[in-house]
Formats: sequence, C-alpha cells, structure tokens
Amino acid sequence: MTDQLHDLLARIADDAGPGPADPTLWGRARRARQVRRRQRVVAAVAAGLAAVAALTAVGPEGASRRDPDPVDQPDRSSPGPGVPSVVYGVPGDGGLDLETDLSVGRASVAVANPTGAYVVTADDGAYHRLGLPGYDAAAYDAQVTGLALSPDGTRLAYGWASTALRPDGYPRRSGLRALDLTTGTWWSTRFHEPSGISDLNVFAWDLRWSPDGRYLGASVAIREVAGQEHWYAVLEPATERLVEEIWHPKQWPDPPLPIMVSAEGRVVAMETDPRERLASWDGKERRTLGRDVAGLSTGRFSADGRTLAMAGDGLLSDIALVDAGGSGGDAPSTAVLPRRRYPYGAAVDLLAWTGERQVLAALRPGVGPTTLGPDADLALLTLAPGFTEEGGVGLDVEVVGRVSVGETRSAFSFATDLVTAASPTRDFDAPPFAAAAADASAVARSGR
Amino acid sequence: MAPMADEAAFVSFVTARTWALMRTAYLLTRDHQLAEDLVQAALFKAAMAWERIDGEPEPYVRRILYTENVSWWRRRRRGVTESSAGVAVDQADRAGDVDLQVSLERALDLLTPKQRTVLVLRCYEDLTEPETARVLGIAVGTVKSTHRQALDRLLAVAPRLGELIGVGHD
Repeated sequence: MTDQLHDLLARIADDAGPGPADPTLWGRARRARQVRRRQRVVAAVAAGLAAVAALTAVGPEGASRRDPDPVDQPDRSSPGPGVPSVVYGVPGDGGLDLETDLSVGRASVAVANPTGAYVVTADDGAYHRLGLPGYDAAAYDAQVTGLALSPDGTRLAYGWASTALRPDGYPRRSGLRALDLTTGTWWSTRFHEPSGISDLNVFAWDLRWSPDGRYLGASVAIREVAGQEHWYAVLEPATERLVEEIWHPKQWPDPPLPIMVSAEGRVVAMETDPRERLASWDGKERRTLGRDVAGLSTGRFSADGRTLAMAGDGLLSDIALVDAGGSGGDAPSTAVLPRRRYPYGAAVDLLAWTGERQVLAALRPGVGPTTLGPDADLALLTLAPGFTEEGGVGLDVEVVGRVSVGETRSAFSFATDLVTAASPTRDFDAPPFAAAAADASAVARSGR
Repeated sequence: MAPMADEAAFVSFVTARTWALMRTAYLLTRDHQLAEDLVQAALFKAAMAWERIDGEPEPYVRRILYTENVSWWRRRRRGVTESSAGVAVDQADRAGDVDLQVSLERALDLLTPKQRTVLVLRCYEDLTEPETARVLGIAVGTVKSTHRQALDRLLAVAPRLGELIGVGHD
C-alpha cells in the first residue's frame, strides 16, 4: 500500500464542499434533549401511575373501576391543539418567510402546493412555510402529493431528492424522510432500483400513514419509467426500519394507486385483473379482500383493521365499505351521501376513521354535473342504521369545518387524531394571505 | 461549562471542523447531500451530549460520523450486487485516458458502503485494524477481510489502481 492512495483519497475529498451551515442546530439539539428528558420523566411517572392504578383498580367487591375516557370529557378550560375550523389553501408562497428551523411544533394540517410545503401549527393555527431539505414541490401536484402528516401531527413524511443533478438532469439520490416537527430532526431512507444496484432516480409519492401512525406506506417508481417499474414500500419511522417492499407489477394499475396500510402493518392495494380485485399482503402472501371494486382508488382502514372505507375519483354519491376481515368474495357495500346537501355528489377524500361507525372526510361538493365548488366540507360521516332508497347504508353528515381550496392548487393532509366528536375543530384567526385575499375580494365586490 | 460558553464552544468547533468532517463524510457516502446529512446528524448528536464530552470533541464527533454511517448502511435492504462490478469494468476500461483520480472515484462508487467505509477508515483516516473494528462494532477479522475485498474490487474495476495499491497489496 502506498501513501499515494491516501493522497488521492484526500484529493477526492477536496470535492466535498463546505458542508451544512445551520445556525439553528444548537438550539434544535438542545430542545430535542429537553424533549427526550421530558419524555423520560413522563414515562417514569406514567409507569409509577400505572403501578398505583393496578393496585387500586380492584374495589372492595372486586369490581374494576375506570376513569372516564378523557375524550368523553374534554377539558374546555384549555383549548389545546386542534384543526382549524377553516383551513386555507396557500396561494403561491403565501407571502410567508421560508423557515429553516423545522422544529415548529405539532401540526394540525400540512399543505402542499407547487411552490412548497406548509404546515399549520396545532396550538396557534399559524401557517409555516418549511424549507424541507430535498423536497421538490414541483414534482407533485394536487392529486399526487409527496407530503403526509402523521395522525398525531408530530411527524411529516415527504419525498426528497438530492439537489445535485446528474448530467441528464435527474437527481443523484432520492428517497423518503420522516421529519419530527417537535425537534426538527428527520429520518431519511432511500429506495433502490429493481436491480438493487442504485437508488438513482427512485421517486416516492402517495404517502399514507397507518391509522395509529406506526407505519408509513409509499408508492415508489423510477422516474424514467414511472408507471412501468413501480412498487410499494412500508416503513416504520419510529424504529427507522424499511419493513417491506412489495413487488407485483403486472397486475397493478398503471400508474399505481395509493396503498392502504392497517394498524397491524397489513397492506392493501388494487389489482387490475378482469375482476378488479382488492388484495392484501401480510408480507408473505396475497389474499383477495373484495371484487368488483372498479372505480375505487383509495381508502382508509378502520382502527381494528376490519373495514376499509373507500372512494374513487370524480364526483361521487356514495362511498364503499369493504369487509377487510371477510372471505373476500363479496362486492363492497355502499354508504350514500345525503342527496339534499350534495345533489351533484362530491369529490371525496376519506381521511380517517374517528369511531366505530364514523369517518372523517373532506367533501368538495359538485356545483354542476362535472364542476367542483371552490371549498370542501370537513365532515364527520356517521353510518346510519337501515338502508336508503338507493339500497345503501345512509350517512349522517356533520360539517365540522371548511377547507378553502380555491385556485391555490393545494393538497392537504390532516392530523386526524386531533379531530374528535367532542372537539372536532378550533377557531383561529385567518392567516394574513387569506385576510388579504378577502379584503381584495370585498373591494372588488363593492366596485371601488 | 456554563450554557452560553457551551454554545460558543460548539459553534467554534463547527466553524473550524465542519469542512474536515465533510471531507470524510463525502468519501464515506460519495454524495454531497448525504454527506451533509451525515455531518448534520453527527453534529446534532454531539450538541445534544456536548457537556458530557470529555476532552477534545473531534474524536467523539468522528465516532458518531462513522457509526451513523454504519447504521445507515445496515438499514439498507439491498446492497451493491456483484454483477455491478462487470458493468464498471467496462466503464473504466473504456475511459482508458482518464487519470488515476477519476478511476479511483468510479471504483469507490462501486464498492459496497461497508467496503468503502473500511477502506476510508484504514487508508484515509489511517486507523489501525483494531481501531477500525472498535469504531464500526465489527470483528478485526471482518475488517481484514472487508479491506481485502475492497482493494480486490478496486483492482478488478480499475486495474490501473494497481500502482496505488501494490500488486497483492498488504
């Protein structure tokens, strides 16, 4: 071995560049340290309380006692974190400063538009324009997003690509990151091409958290051949683990539809065989969950993993309910939107199950047979007993908020744990860009 | 140390040593963005534990850098396959007029992360085999065999590197 090898390595290292210059690093690290300490204290206290509770849970007659569920009796004296009752799409960059300190705190909503990524903090309803390293907003659109907020609002998953470009214009590296919004730190992972040689040009989108926020599902493709070479990945960000990559390309729709991930990590995806089946994987084998699901594109697992609520694209008058625990031979049953409120149907984005028979959804009503209105209802859909004239289960719709989409080309992801039947949304001041738009609109209406 | 003094010392360390850390990180990852991520992650962890660092911080930070890179490679599901070497031979031989540095860069890109890490620690950081084993949490025998495989692969990919490595290498 010669010193020449060392010298040559040193010359290659000269290309390294100056490195990160992050003035917020110290502050973020110290906050993360405090959070970790606090978590340790809370865990220790919780363990102590659990021990005390175990000793006191059995009364004199041996009957178990249980405090009421805190969700049943919210503490009204402290408003706490919440989803805004009006959520605004962000026009352009919204006039917001780019924030590089990503420890903004727990978020209630994430917004993606072609200019960037934004979150609304859960405690104050403020909008933040995040400088996510490697996030390429222009690579996505309102239908295919590269952002997903975890159900509890503490983590933001996003697709990333290296800023260094190859000569052919494609990023050198790409993958998926899960950013902890409380500390500003992230876990980064990369996917590899089918050959296993490289992760160049691999592109992740349509990110989906499991109902409990444990798992993260993503569609993955190679940019040059998107739609032909694609697969699914399931990750467990808390343990920084790539759980599974699922290959089954011949029967998948092209381009692939989003996968759905249950709390147990079970994955469901659509197949395009003649019977339009839904199939699930347990990591080893596939199982048919339902047939005749043509037109459906995505959905959400119930917390117990037994039911899938599903919807398709375009204006819909109902949603589909798939028995995910059944034999798989049945077509889905339907739950019908009230015609009086949605005479032309609605574009349905199912967000999460919030109860045994209740689903949170964003419903953007049709204002004509093929025309969407500017705003969406944030609504709790409750399955009603009995059947409607159309033959499906009825749906009671409780509108708990409004999503103002307008012309902003924004896509939204919600911290669905923050929406409960007892305290669905909170009122916050409108962000400056929305207030300015409202003023401009008022001036225009007044004819001045 | 008082908190303000801690922050000042950390900032001073970051200012003085980030470039040196970046050089190692770039050799380990062969990617500017990943190198930045790696250095950022190492500095972040160092800042979290700053007051517990006994003596000079650099060895501590470098150790984090190495181990973090190890954990990144262990998370990967698929490594570089043996067949990729064949592709690389073609590429390197076709470029018969490129200099040794370019040949070495191309060859480094085709090592597995583990091979590259061992090579960088042994040949650039000048760590001994026991030191490399301790830092990476692997056996000394594994360091030896991985280092040998790395050098063999460099030679297979770019025979011109024999000038640097020496025939049969030590």
